Amino acid sequence: MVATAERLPAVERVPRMPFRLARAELLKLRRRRGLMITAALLTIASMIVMFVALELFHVSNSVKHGPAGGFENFRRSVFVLSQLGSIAAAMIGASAGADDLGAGVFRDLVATGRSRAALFLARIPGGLAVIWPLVAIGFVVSCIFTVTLAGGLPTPSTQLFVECALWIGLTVGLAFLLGLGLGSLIGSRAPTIAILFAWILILEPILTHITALGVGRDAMLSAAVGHLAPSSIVHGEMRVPMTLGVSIVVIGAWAVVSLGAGLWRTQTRDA
Amino acid sequence: MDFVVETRGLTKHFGTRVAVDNVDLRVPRGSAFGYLGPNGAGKTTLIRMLLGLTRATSGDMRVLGCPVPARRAEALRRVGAIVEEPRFHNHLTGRENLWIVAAAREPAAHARIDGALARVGLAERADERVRSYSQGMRQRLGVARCLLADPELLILDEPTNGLDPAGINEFRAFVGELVGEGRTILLSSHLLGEVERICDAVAIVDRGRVVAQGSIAELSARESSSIVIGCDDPPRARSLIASLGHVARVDTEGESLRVVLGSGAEIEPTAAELNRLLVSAGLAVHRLDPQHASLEQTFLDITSRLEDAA
Repeated sequence: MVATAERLPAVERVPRMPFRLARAELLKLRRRRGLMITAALLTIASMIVMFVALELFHVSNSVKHGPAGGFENFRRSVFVLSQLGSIAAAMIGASAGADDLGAGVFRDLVATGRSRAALFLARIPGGLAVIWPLVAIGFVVSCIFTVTLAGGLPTPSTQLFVECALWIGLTVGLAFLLGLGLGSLIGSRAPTIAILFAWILILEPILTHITALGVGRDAMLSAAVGHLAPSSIVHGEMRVPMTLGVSIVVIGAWAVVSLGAGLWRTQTRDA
Repeated sequence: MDFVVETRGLTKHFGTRVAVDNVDLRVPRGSAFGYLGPNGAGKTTLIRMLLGLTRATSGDMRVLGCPVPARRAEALRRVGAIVEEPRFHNHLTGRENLWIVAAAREPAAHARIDGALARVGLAERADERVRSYSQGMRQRLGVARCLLADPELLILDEPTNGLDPAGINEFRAFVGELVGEGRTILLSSHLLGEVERICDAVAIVDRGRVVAQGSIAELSARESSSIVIGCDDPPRARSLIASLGHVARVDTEGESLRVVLGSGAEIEPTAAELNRLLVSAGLAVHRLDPQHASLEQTFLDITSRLEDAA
């Protein structure tokens, strides 16, 4: 109990307003135990389980199963982490967007006189400060296993490690923004998460693979983000053909629309 | 006189329903001001407009001299509020919940957390999750949250809802302390007795409209005091009493008579005079019950007159 009080910033070290609000958001999310455990399972434990399983296969039958590390398994781990990290990010975003409303605390925050836009925007750094470190740990775990369990297989270059880290950061960051925007728009966590899961896991992959949609597929966030993935880890047939400019515009549009919708609803809803 | 809350023509529509109807309200600085009305009269809606939680359809508001919503941030800097029941993040401790609200206020609010917790008697349990708090503790934590603003004005909406009698008494004493410090309290309630005990001025609201406003003494004086008499031969007693000049009217209530006094008549001397009159006429008096006009009577009379008119 004493430790809890000590974790709060001391009075004399109270940071400036935007940072205080962001730290408040961070505190709210970090103390949500179930959410944090789930996010850690999806981002960190998933990497450990994946590489440990690959290593067990290799140890049990090294002829049939190659080493757990190396470039190819790193490539797989990057896609697994981007997908599971996006799910974790969407959950955290939904919580960041809807928790104040769900708890009935939003009106007390509005009644302080603080602008609703400031309250909303503080959720962005607060939430990213939760999801990015988790994904970073998961990625570091993946890198360590990739190198240490390579067993003579080629390993990615430092540049590729960095590029993949940035790409995963972008992917989960966008999923967080999507969750935040939709959570703020709907105002309830459970329906937001259900909608995002359905979109991320079912609808978007299906739509992205329907070639009959033509350029319509360019509008899919996963297609646009996939286009920015380091080329050496993406097989050509997996990429939806589009220009770099289009992918950037699509990503920007998704981010702006998500945040815009969430901000608009936060400013207009009765608290 | 200095007013901490002023509204003019304040109106709020929900579709075709009028929740707040052209309200002119003036809350004097340093007072405990009751906003009294039955459930559904529009009390909470008015408070929500003052705090910027919902928009007014029309009209003007000023809080601590600042127009709302134009200068809402400045207006609410020194305002603490509990709207309906106080709500918290249940997965956080009491202290963490205060920290979150302090983060939205000025930096000095952080320095007030420990003092606020101590003042409401929650210092010992501040680091327990709010999930484990009783209703009374939540109410106290809500007050502590208000104190983070070092408020000039506290807006309390139905603050004793859900509290047990001991909690209600404790709360009343606490409000008294706050008023004693020069803070203004705007207390909304449907409980007449509560407003009468805590407040020194009141606005009575019915169906979204303020139907009376002033000090409790002024409003009570608008209604007549009465004396209930039980005696032998009520018809004869009635004719004797009706002849007195300062009696407005005499109503029959079962076996008793209610003597309604005219304006300016003092109740205790009149009761003595009535007793002398009846006894000297040979009537045995077995009940003599002076009843001062109360806010409750005023409230019921005003609202029942409105219902009759409707």
